[in-house]
Amino acid sequence: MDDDIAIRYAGVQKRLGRQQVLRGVDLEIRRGECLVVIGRSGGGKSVLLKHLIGLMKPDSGRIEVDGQDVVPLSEVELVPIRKKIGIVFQGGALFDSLTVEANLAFPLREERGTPAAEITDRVREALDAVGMLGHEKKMPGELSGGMRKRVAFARAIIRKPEVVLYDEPTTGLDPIMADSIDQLIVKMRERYGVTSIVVTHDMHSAYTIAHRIAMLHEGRIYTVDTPDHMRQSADPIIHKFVNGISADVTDL
Amino acid sequence: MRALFFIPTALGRGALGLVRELGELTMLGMETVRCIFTRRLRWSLMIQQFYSVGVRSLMVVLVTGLFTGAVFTAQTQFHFHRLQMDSATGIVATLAMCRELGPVLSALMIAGRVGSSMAAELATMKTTEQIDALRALAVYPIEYLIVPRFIALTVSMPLLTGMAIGCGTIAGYLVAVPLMGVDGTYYWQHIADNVAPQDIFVGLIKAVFFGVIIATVACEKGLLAEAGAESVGRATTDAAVYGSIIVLISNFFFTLVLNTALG
Repeated sequence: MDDDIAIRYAGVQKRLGRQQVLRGVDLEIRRGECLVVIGRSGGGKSVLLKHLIGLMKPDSGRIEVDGQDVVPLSEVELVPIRKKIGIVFQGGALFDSLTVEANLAFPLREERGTPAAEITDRVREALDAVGMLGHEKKMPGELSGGMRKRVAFARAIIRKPEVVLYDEPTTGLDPIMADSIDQLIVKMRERYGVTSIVVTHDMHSAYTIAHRIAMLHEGRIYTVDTPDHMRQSADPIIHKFVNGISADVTDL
Repeated sequence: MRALFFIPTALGRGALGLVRELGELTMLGMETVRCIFTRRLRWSLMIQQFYSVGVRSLMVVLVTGLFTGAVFTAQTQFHFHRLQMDSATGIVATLAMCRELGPVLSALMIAGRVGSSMAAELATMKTTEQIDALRALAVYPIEYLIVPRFIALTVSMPLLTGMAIGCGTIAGYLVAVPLMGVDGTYYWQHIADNVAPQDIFVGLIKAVFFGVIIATVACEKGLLAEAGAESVGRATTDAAVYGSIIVLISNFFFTLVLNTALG
């Protein structure tokens, strides 16, 4: 086993209804790396992330976290894996019956045994990291989209996970807010050395944060390369996607 | 040719759907019961649910009991008076309230008020990925979301039903005696002589099972909701409709079984 590999997908296939979403995904993510997964909307990028923490089970294939196959694990057996991984969902997925503070404290309270004073300190520290101090008592419904994403980000990192998954972290945000999220991802990567997988179709964001970019195309990893190589690629599929060129009339 | 197969195909699909539905309900019910005994109980969440399910339903159930008792007593008295059976009005009304009207009508009101709101809440959590977020934070949704709702509803139902029966009986007395001129002493004496504790038990036992049914149906509909507002709406309606229908159908079997067992 290669100790440098934190996560490995091997031959992962998944069908949802009539659509074969993943047709044999092979992908390796190195420890401390920030890998950005790009691809068309509805192409299975989020599905790929959800498989990693057992929210979905593949029809076939292996998914390893630190060398352990997570596919056959039950909900109880997945607990230690899930504690190592934080996830920022596309819409934030904040618990709307809890305040911002309670949302952040939730993972710590669930661990039981963390003293109340430490929980308060860590909540403040996480909110400070995302620039949301002073909003502790607000309900998620009172926050804007960008604020919600930042709180979700804080909740994902509060347990100091080894791996953080980001599902379209900048989608629907204004450019300034999107840039602030990108900077947070870079800060997490550089300051804490966390392994990150970011699913996005925002190429500007991908170039800013990625060590490597993987392109998911028609259910398979089409290519994995550095941001510079992706930007300069002459491959028509990659070129069209990264430059945002839609199919022309003859293609249609 | 197509038309020839249309009816059997539709019947087959319906039967399969029913079996699948019952299977999902049974599995969720069993998993919930397993969690009650094998995982930690979250008392603070349960207290919140008792408030939301029990305390906030009190007015609805009391009004239901009060007016059902009043109307049923009045209707019975109108007919019994013609037959000169005024003294039997209290017995019939009280027995009906204890064994059937109290538990069934309370359950229907709770299926509409609580079942639908439970399903809507869970379906919204499902569509906004909050349930996925729970799982990602290593919290089992059945333990965190379903068990408190299940216990709160199962315990609240007999309490609410007991109150509905009490209100219905008092309302029956007020309609029969001061309003319609039935002799008060006879009214109570006949009730005391003919209504036994097991009549109340039958109603309360039914209420426990109705609580289980409404909670399981509501949670299943909420958890199985798919993405989109339409799905939340469907889960909400289905929880109320299916919950009520299963209550009505199962009530027939409970009546047969409990009458045989308890008399």
